Amino acid sequence: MPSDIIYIDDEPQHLLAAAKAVRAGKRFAEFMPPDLDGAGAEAAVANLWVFDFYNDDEERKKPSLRGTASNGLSVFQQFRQLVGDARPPAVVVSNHLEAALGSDINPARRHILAEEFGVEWVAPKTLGNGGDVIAEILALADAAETLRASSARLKAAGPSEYVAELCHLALKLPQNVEWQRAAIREASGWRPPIWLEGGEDHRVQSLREELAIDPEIRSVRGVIAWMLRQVLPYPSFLVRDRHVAVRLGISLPCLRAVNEAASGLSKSLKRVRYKGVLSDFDAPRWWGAGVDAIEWGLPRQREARSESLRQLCAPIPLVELEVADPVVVSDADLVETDEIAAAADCVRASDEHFPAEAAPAWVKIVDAKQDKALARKVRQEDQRELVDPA
Amino acid sequence: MSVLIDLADYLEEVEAFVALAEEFVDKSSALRLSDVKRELKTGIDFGQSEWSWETREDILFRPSRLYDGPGRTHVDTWLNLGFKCDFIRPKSVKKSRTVWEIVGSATHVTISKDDGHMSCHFDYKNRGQWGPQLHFQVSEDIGNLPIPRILSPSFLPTDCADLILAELHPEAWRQLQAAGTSSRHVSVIREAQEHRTKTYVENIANMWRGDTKSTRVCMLQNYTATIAALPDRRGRSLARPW
Repeated sequence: MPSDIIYIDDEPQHLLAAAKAVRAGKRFAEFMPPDLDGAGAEAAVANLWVFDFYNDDEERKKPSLRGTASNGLSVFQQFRQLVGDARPPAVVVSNHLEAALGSDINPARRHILAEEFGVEWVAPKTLGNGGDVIAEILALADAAETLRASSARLKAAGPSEYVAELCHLALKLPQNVEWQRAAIREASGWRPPIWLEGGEDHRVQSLREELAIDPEIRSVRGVIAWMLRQVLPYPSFLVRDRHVAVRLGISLPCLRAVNEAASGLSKSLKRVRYKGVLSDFDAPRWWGAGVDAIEWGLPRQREARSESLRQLCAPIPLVELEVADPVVVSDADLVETDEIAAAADCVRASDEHFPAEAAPAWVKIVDAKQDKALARKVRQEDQRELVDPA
Repeated sequence: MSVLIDLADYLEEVEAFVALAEEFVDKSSALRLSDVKRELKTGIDFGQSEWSWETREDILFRPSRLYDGPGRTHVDTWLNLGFKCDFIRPKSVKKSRTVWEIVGSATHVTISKDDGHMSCHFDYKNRGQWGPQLHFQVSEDIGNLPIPRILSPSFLPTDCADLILAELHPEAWRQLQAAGTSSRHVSVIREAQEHRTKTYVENIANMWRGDTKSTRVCMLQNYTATIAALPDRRGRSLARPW
């Protein structure tokens, strides 16, 4: 595969070594600022742009308003000027993200930081020895490639077929499964970005003549941004194993053990596992409609249901959730944890970053009582639970 | 006589009702409420010829104190609601349609406060019973009495919940319906209820016209609807062939 990732860094060795370790070194076209000659033509057709934030140690040690900034975001803006809106997804990497952003970094909320930066993703450069970052970068570039390859069909799809086409082509929704319609309907509820028609090239005349762009990349980027900012960080039409556990009424350790074993349930879950773009991004996910289909097949009566689950989990002993109305507990940043608690012990909370379609997070009452910032995120109708009875 | 229902059409009503009633549901039942919606969708999608839509656990609504009359205050009074609707697709209905026959429906309601509770249910009567086909009945647990059965055209779970909420939260439930942000949901429910109720009222009027001798109330106590299919929320009859 020719280079499809533009990488701008004054010290690219570390990340490139990690890329070579997974036989992906040739996918990177690296440039060291300020020498960016020749990068424009490749950037215009790339699947991904990657910028190191600090390209000048002095700039990091003593930021000032003097001279011309050479940090990754400044270079990003230069690249943007070259191709206008027809740019691929962009990633900012840095081992000094806190300094770059000037605030704390919660790895689970990187989608919010990226939005603040005006890019699609941010990552610490040497996270997990560079391997994890490379996996993320390659997943993003692969996603762009998959979407590009599907662009003709997505563009041609009629209004009523578009979401189904997107589900099948990009999200790899299995064909001919009985939960297919439910999955498409749920995905549609999360308002995937529409595939844009041609549109005008608003760049200056000289650039229009000099540098060809691919207008489809705008829609490619739109879908990837939608996945990164809305679909993946929240329980959506794709859910993590915590939600699978809650829906099936199984403890999370039991479900994880069952998934590792050759059990009836692991086979069923394999059939509803999400395998589309960015599927390996930050833990596996399952189609919510597929999990519902498994659930639908279980008996309604409590004892018969338990027996059926026991058989499905074998050889792993079934451990059912003991709590009434189980919910996945989130922390003070509204990031979901592995804890499952009774809804009666929790309150619902959300913040301005939650997509309109996302259900509120559940936080422990005891936590919200101790944390004023968290308490402010609690829904109005649940606020009374935070007040101790007189 | 059983009646046909287009469940895809009713699903719109359920979604609107869930959105409207969400803030009246105790938070511990929030997921039960979304489960109800999801299970109806899944049932429709799976299209089995015979299936049930039901609550696994009762949905608990938030309590009210002001429901009796002006100036009358009670202690917190709660509402629990659970239901089971059984559907069968008749042979005459194509598998591609989202139309089923309601062969039975029971919505159980318990209203409780610290010093007591009252259980009742809204039934779409089974064939072995006397009394109105669609009826409200106090639980037989109270006095071991299956009567009286009182005619109630509210028999779908959303209608039963609407009926009880209108009494338990008289002010708040009406205020919410009057709010501009609720208008879309309210109009979906209102139109569907109106067309459905009208169909039964006209059916009862026809029954009365056909019998000049019996007392009207007595006739109601033996009422079995002769309605082939519930109208959709726009008042249209289900298009034949099913």
